[in-house]
Amino acid sequence: MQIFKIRKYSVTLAGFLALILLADTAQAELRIDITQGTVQPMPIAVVDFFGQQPTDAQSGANIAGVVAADLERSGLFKPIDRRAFIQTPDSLRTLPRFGDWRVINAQALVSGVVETQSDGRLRIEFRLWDVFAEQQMVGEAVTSTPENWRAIAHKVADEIYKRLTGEDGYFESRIVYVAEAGPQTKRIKRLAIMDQDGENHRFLTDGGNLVLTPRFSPSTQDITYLSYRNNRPRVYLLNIETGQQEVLGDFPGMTFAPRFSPDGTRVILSLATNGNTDIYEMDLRTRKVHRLTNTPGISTGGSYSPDGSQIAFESDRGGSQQIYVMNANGDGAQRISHGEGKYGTPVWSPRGDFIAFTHITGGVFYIGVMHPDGSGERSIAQGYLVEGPTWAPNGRVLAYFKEDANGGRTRLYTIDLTGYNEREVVTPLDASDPAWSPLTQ
Amino acid sequence: MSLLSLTLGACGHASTVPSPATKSATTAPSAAPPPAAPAKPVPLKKVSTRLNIAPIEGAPVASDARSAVAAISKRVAECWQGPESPDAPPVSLQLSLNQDGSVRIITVLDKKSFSGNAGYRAAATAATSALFECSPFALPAAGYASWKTLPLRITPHH
Repeated sequence: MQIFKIRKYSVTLAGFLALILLADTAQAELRIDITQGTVQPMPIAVVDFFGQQPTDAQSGANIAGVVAADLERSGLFKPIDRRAFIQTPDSLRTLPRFGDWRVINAQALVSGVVETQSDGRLRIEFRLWDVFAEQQMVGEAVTSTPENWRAIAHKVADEIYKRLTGEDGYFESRIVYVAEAGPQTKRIKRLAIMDQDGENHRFLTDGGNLVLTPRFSPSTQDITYLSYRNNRPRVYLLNIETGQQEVLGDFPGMTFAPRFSPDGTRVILSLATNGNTDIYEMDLRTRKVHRLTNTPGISTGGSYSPDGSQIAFESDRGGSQQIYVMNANGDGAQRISHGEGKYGTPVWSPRGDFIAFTHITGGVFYIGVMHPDGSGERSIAQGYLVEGPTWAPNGRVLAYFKEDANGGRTRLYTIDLTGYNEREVVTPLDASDPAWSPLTQ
Repeated sequence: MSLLSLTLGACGHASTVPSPATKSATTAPSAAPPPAAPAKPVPLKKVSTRLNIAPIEGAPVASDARSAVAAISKRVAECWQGPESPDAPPVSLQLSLNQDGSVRIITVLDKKSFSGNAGYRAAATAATSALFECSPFALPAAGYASWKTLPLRITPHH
């Protein structure tokens, strides 16, 4: 039997306390390669986190449930039915009996402990084990208020995802979108926000006015959105956490809300003047607006690259609606889309390696991706009407909305960048115009 | 050896989720041309909530500011009504106005209640919406310095 010594305590940037244990076998790292298309989901056992008190035990079961659900939804993991588990949460506190886990074909194992502290806060500890190598891969602990348990569960899922795929996770994030109800002539639209798994849902506006295209700041808790209060399209800036709200400006003819620069200090928007629509940039501190494009036709829907040096946008300057990339100062615009039909709503991945877009050809809508130079174009989703892609914070998953044919529902979906694992995000009403937040800080 | 524990901020509570709507008609895709000027705002249910706006108790208020608040309250009472919300709490907001009486920025003063209480959040959202919708407010330009920033207590009533 191997003896594990606690090596050191260190505080990572994410604020976790890391418990790093020694292992003395050198083995191939347990890892999923997620770049190759179809992936055999890794069988993983997520055990209810142990709690001595009944409330802690319940929290432990809840946390494990959310962790397992996040991992399963990514399409990369297959949580094993807990009824098959042989070892109990209590006995896992000392050491896994790895044979018990190998026999049910688990490749990875997640265990943990929940304990309410004397000040009422929860201390949550979790460990990720490589079952075949019989060694611990991750051991971390964090304390938090009890109400925050979902955020903790998503953080744990992100840590596991990252350790086993080598990619950053995306589970501790939110999606803001437009909730819709009612007949087309009296459509009620309200902004809503939820955790990426559909939980913690709440409305942000009261439905009295048309609201469109919420956008998340990549670095703050702000969103912009368009609203038609008093029948005038106006852009609002709303802070999700504090509720602070202000008007960015009245912009006649605008149909999309502005998008933020990566540092959250500027937005790009499109304004119509003299029958032309062009892209402008506004500094959020000075509120000064300056023009970036000046060509005939409609240029709109700008999206910054994650390093802020370039902007992708849609334009019909060449005669049909296509995607262009230009420098952030407005010069050097190059067309990057070249297929049949129309291209629009470009969104630059937070990783910088892809631009997602909506493509309409042959009467069918597609969500597609291509590299920023236009190469490697492929479709990853299609439907009667699919549009409005938005990237998860790790640039590996996309959300979009889809309308069923024949007056059916409008709903949100997520899909992996490889085109696999399309999943509905269940919302209380119909849903459109999603925008995915950065990882919650 | 002591363990360092770092705390995380609290998230908001989940609000009550309304029951799902039945099948609804199609919406216009957002790739289409700008929508025609929308019809008057449609309230969600039978309307019966109005807002009363007053200065926050205990805060010293110049008489110019007091009459500005009264004018704003009167305007909002005429212009805005919300769906029935019997348990909506009063909320405290700071209203910052431009010289033309339009809203510059609205700040929720009780951030703790906003982040921790779904009912408070909903009431603050409704009050914010009412202020935006009923502005610009007709206020005397000469007194701008005194009504530029107004801390308000907004109380729903039926």
